[in-house]
Amino acid sequence: MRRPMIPLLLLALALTAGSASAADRWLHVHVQGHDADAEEVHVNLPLSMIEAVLPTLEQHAFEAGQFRIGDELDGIDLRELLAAVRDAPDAEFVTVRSASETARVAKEAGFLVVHVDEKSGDRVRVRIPLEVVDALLGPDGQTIDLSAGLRRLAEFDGDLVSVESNDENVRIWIDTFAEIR
Amino acid sequence: MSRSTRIVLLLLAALSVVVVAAVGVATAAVYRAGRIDVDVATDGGGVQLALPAVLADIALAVVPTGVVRRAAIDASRDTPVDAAQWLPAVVAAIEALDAAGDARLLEVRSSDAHVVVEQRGRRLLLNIDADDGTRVRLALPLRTVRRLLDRIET
Repeated sequence: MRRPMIPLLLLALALTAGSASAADRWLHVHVQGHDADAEEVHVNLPLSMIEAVLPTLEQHAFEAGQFRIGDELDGIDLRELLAAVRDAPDAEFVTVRSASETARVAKEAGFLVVHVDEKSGDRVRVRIPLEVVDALLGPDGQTIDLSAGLRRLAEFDGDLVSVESNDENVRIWIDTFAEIR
Repeated sequence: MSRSTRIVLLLLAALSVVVVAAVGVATAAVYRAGRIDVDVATDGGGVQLALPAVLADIALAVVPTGVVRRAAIDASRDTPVDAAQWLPAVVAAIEALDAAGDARLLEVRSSDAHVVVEQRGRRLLLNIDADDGTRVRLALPLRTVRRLLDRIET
């Protein structure tokens, strides 16, 4: 009687472990101003909370954690574009140099990376796992599915966005700690 | 001991058990519901309040839904956002927070105030320390907040 229970127990444990990893991730936002009287803001939110809240929000084109972008794509097939990026080796795809800034979009070790360096000294770094971008794009390539993206994001740790400007620094990242360490 | 005395003693014993059980259940309910703490201090004075949250639960159960809704509408009248629209999101957030465990959710440190919102021991805490001497300490059991929101929602 006992033997058949062991694989079932292991299966249950594996399933629980999978969902627990998604539930235990925290999104952190830290904003630090540079002035003497500047504000400092820390936000620590469980991803599970954001995931629970998203489907309840309904604003204009945003519904049930998704919003449609089809009308603004002008015939561009985002799914095809993403597949091309995913299948390509690590490389810099776009580089824009202007008088005021240099922007670059690249693929690095499974991450979509965006770097913007302004002449004023402001720096923006965005680093999103390609799997998250894949989940964000709805199956038809015409919708952004934030809930699906968030679920996939829960499998990663690390920095997502950092902005260093003359006024303030902003950092957004994910880890398993409820508070900033 | 006569038969009638035995019956009276048995009834008294049964009654004692019922009373002890009722007190036990009530104590457990009060303990489980937690406590609401309000502590507001300003230069001119202050207010301090510590209530068992079970009283709020009872009030929510007794007060008609219309009164709760009207109070909520009155309270949200001066807010810049449509509170009713965000209510389902707040309910979902509170439920998820309850499951997530203790954390400092928000901390804002500015030149004139320090604001902290955190969850500790299934209670939502709001602490404000302003430079003008104003100090606010508010602690609400998440369960009470959920019950209040449920009543407003229904």
